[in-house]
Amino acid sequence: MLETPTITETPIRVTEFRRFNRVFFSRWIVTSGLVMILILTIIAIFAPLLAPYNPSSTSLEETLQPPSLQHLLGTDTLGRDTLTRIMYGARTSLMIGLVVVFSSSIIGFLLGLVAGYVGGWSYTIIMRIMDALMAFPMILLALMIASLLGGGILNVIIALTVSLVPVSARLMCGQVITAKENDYIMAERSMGASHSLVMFRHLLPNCFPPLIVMVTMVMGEVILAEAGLSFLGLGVSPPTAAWGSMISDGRNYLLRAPILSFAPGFALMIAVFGFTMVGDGLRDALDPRLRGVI
Amino acid sequence: MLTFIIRRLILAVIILTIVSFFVFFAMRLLPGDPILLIVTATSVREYNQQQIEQLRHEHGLDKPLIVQYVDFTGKALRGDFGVSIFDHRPVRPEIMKRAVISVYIGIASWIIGHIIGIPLGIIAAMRRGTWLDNLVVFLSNIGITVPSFWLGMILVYLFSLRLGWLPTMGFTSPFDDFWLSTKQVIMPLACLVVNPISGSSRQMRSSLLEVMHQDYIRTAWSKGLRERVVVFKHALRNGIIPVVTLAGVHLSIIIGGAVIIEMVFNIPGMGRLLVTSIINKDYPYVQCIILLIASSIVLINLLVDLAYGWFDPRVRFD
Repeated sequence: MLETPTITETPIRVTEFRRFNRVFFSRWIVTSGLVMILILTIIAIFAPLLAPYNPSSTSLEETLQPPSLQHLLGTDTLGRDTLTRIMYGARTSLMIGLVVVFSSSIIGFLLGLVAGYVGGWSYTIIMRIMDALMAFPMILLALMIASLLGGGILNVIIALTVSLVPVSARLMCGQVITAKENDYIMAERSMGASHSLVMFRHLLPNCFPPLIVMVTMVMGEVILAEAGLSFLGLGVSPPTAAWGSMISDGRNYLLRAPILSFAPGFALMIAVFGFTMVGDGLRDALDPRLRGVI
Repeated sequence: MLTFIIRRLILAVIILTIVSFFVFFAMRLLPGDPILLIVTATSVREYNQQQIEQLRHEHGLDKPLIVQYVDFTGKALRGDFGVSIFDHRPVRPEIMKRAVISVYIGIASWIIGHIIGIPLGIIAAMRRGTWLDNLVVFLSNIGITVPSFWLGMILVYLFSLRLGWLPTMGFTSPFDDFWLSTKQVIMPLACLVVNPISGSSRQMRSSLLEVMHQDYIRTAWSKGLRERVVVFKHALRNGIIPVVTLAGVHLSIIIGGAVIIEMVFNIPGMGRLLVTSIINKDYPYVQCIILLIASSIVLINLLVDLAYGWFDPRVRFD
């Protein structure tokens, strides 16, 4: 169905963006993950407008209500509306997730960049410390740090950031070690570019795709770890709504009001699912082996 | 290969030294004093300043930090981790008792997870596009994202509170009462098993599908070999390598997950001891457990790397 009769020997080039879109949206599970994240983000941002009640307004006449038209997901022991608290919990989770992923990536990428590019002693020192931190499951490391610092949003953020730094540092370091062997880096250097210019203008952008995938995937893990900490009582302190502590609070009323634990856990699962699936889709869509093929 | 192992062991020693250093100083430099915690916790007895100093001296907490650290590592190397600040019991036997429980649950869920997950992944890859494949993919995608502690509570609600089939919590040694022990361990295992099952089946499926596109597999098909031979003798050997890496990661996930699951199901394992000791600032327990966990993860990583060589003879250890 070609209208012009010219015969081209090279296959028609697919633009990067179109290819990305085609691969990314080819799996319904990835698309649904993206939709879930978008919905949660909207809920988190507009929680004060969307939520039917105030998240901390207690009402002792309405404790442990079953789901009804007034309270779609019932109320907790203090008569607070569960749906409202889940909406505000989305705020807490996403906010902590974003801040942690952002700060740990910046620190980790810088460390990895320096370790990979400079090599030698800085590589040994930085990466050995990262190895030592990696010798713990993330949740355990976060647990230790959080318990040393005490509860509260800021301390949870610090704890999770520290436990994530080695992941991004190691990935970045590996990327840089491969990327710096490329000819264009040598060409840059021989033209007199400074080390910092090479690192930030040339190495960093070229290592980006896998880093983006990691950042998305890790977001789910962070949200899960934050919920784990709150569940153990070492996370966000009580009056603030957090999914982990809501699940834990509902434990004592499992028989009377199972929805108290089930509903926030479901929200938590949706969030983790969304980020993991989008990360999965990004990995496929940014896969350089598929470049120019599909 | 021997030089590889030796080099890795030296590296392991360096890593563990850094870990011990971190744990030791982090616990002591941050606010909170275990002695004051004991003093305030035991309200029966009034402590005066002299007695507090006496307690501090008994636990060696009055010496300079660096001396304490040298003391600690020297004793730790001889297997002596001191006495608990809180319950005054020697740390090592108590931890050993609990480690057995945690290791039992951890290893069991790790093995069960892979015994179920890997074949599921193989079947899904062999029957790509069928309803079976779609089901495995869908369930494993959900499985890697479900919070284990939440799953635990759903199970408790269903099987203990509603149906009354299983006890809600606790742990009994299988040697004391096998039936009760099995009943108690089913739900914690189910929670810990979900992640390795989903993870390994996902990875197995995708890496097998990737391998199946390669030329040598086409050759195997064109030789007229049966599907079973192509998949199990030719494709699997290459396809399983990423699963081995993931299996190492799963053990670390299980160790982390077990800490929370032990709290949910009230299992007297190492994880629960760790959480309570961290809260009580019981240094000796925390140091010992952390070192134990760190060394087992370092050891697992070494074993995973060695396993590559067995699965993939192209891997050279140099």
